Amino acid sequence: MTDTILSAQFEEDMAAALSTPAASPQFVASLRAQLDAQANQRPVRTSPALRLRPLWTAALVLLALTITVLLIGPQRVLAAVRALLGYIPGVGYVQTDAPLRVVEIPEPQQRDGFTVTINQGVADAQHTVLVFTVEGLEQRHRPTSEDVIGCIENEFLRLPNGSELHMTEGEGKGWGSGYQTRFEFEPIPADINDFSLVIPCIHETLPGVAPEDWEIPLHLVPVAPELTVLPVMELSGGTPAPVETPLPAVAEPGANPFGIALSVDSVVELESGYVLQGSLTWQHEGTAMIGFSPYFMELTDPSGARLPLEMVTPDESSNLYTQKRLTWAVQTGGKGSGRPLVLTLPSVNVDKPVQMTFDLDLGDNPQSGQTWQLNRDLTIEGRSVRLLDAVLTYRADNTYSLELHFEADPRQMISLSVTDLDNRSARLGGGGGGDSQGSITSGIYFDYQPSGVRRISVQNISYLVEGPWQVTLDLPPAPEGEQTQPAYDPCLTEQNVQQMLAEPAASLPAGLGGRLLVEGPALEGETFPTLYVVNLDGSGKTRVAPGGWGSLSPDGTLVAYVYRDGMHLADLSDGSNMLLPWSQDNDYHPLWSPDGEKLAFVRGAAVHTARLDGTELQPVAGLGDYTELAGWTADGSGLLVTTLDGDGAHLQTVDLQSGALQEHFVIENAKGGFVRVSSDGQRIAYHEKVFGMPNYGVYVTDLNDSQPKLVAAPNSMGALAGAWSPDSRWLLVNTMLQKYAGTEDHLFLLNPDTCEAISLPWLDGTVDGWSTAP
Amino acid sequence: MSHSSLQTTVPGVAWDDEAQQITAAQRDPRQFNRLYDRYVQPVYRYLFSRLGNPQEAEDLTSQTFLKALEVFPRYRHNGHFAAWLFSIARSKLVDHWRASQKVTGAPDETLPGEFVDPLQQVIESERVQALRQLVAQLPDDDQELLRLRFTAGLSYGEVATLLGRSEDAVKKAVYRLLARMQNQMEVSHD
Repeated sequence: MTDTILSAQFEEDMAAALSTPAASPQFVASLRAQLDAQANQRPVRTSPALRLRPLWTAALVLLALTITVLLIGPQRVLAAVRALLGYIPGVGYVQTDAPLRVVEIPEPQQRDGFTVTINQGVADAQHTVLVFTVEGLEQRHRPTSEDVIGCIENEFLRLPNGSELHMTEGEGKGWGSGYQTRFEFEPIPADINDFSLVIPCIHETLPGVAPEDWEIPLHLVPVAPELTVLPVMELSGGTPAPVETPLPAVAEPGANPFGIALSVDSVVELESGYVLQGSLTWQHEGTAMIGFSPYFMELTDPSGARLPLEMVTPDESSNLYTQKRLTWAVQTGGKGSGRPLVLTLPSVNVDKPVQMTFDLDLGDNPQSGQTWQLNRDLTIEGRSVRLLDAVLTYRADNTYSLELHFEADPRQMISLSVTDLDNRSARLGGGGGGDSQGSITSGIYFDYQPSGVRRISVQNISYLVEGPWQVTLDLPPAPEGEQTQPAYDPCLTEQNVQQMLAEPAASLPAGLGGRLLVEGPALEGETFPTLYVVNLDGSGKTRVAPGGWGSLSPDGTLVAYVYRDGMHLADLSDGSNMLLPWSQDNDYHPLWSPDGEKLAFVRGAAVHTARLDGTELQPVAGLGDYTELAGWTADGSGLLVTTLDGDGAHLQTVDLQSGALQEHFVIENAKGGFVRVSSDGQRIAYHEKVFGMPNYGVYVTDLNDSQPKLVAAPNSMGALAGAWSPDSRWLLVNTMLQKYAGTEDHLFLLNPDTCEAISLPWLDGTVDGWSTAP
Repeated sequence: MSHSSLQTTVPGVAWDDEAQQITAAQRDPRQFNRLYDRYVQPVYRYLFSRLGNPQEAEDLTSQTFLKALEVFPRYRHNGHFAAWLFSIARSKLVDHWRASQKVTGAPDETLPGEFVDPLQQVIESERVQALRQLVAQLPDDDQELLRLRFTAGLSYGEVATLLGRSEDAVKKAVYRLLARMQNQMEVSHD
């Protein structure tokens, strides 16, 4: 590197030298109109990430229970089968007004190690649904960085006359070696039964490394009698409604300013629950966007038990989104043990464009870190908000952020976005958000240092409109002995985590101690976290090194970890640190054997073992790419690993001598399950999606998964299992509470058997290992 | 390493306005126009810098955004929307060159300096013109690095994502380039 110090002027000159003319306003407007037209032809999805403020919503759920329900909808009865609509599990809603056809499942197609399997296909008058699986992906097929995209070309259908039918919707799941996709295409004309699925390239693969231009011939046949097409029952206010204009049973809007109403329009009875489809409608004529998350609706039976709800794709023929209507669909976990069921929506979020401008004088020479105390009351669309201060900050990417801090009654406003009308940065950016304490932050980015009087424009505000809105569902009685819902009774919930943080336990359990290896925040300028060791009671904290994937030796004296150049070994007794000379820069995830003599680790994509001196270095037989290490067996003869396929993560033991695999159970987690094995090799902590909750939950079980127990609830709180105690009785769990600008992490000591939990506020980070103190 | 990626997206308090816009657009494609507003000029400027022709730049800008809208349902936000969008723009460029049989050499011919209005050249500082000449002599990889950073206005992290390199490496490369060019400028003015 040269010693030259770059001047700001030089960078400005460079920007000028590389500047180009801006696009003309006419072109920008024209392309915008074109995109709008395209967008209007696409269906709108109801998404769980829909402008929801979980903290507020959670708080308002409680609030809603204490206030009078605004209005309760009329008694609901099942009225009529929607003769034109059916439901096929795995496919979704189908139109049955014209003969329904299904795809004859062909033999899987194989090319160069890849296999494409058609799983399901249905064609109705509205669309063509295809579900297919691709297997055979290896690490070498993908870009070297996960953020670099590979193939993004869309699949399409080709008809015999050469015309193409394009995808209208797509969703699916992926795992290391493959993916399964459910695509919806434009409808196939009723007189055409032969067509082909064209896959231009395998998703995410680099050009030229995987077979391209697949064309799979498919044939449609009339639907077979054995295919289950479940009836879709229309719900009405007691009188069968005309199919063409279904009359929803609606909770009347009452006093709410937007005339918001919730309805349930149809129900499909599944073996394990229901699919409910409904809509949210409003009367307001303005441009406000109204949204909510089905995850925060509540469906309760007469005993008050809550049925979990999981989002599913609504019937797209129902015109998902019109100016004043949002269609949603949920699947219930169980059918409830009595009737009626009551669906409650506690609140909705309103997002509204506004126009309001105020001046902010930064002076002639503002400095990074400077704060302007403002305390100015503003009224935006009749809503009050107080501008507390503004802070200018120089950012690491040579830009500046001007942060404005506001305070508002959350019922008045929960967030707002602002812009600087005179911002001449190449890219206009910024952001905003609020938290449950009534504080709002909104920022503007500049690629130069702003100064002087700035004209700040408020462009958008968000606020909550409280309900609740309720619909009473009078469904047929559930079968006798029906479970209301899976028995969720987790040890750690957002509520009790908050309580424990407010009132931390005075002391650790008697006799419990040991040394922890913790991954703490990265130091400035360092991309790797900081590893440190510390006693469970917070004493003896010692920094080890910047690194990741730390593993503490069973006797607590050595730390194996990964840094840029490979695996390192830190000796805690003398502070020495060395790069393992036989290691490579693509080694990661070292794990000590129970006797402390060996390391298991992943090299590239393959699991290996080696002695510390590099002898006996070998790949573990019987394992393919995308195998995740979970731990060693207690006797050191094998490794616990997870392998991924379309079913999830298979927890298996591989025998190091023979390579024989013994399957334990499957974790429904396409990312591997992040398994933590206890010291005695008998207890497993893993992460799995919980039906009806947006996050993964932490489960504890044994090797046979005979009694899985959800120990950390994943509602708006995230949770991660860290390390087991040396006696295998305690588990360290990291909880992540949603806060402004990210998450707030708190570590808890948890006894999964008794649910005893203790907050460990003196620890900052994720625990990678726990050993008895040397 | 800690498994922060484990947590699924939770709708909630969000600082990043762009993330909010992405979330909104994935629910309602009509909201994609907010992302368009944000990126249309950087994409156009970048494409113009590679093509040097406003009509072609407009054409490829259109193709880029229409493609982005088409495949947007598959986009999974990881904080690198700009990199994702520019990778589409770059793939459109490659398609364009392939179609016009100008696979090699084309980028070198399209430096922005060669298409600057003569009046602008008069009023532009001599220093900037000299810099432009220096940029033109750089290998294309280096030019591309500078274009993405200074013409498209991408952050170092976004450039790194787009090029499949570490942010540190990109920063070092840009600073090394700038330092070298600043030295050359100083020498030529001595």
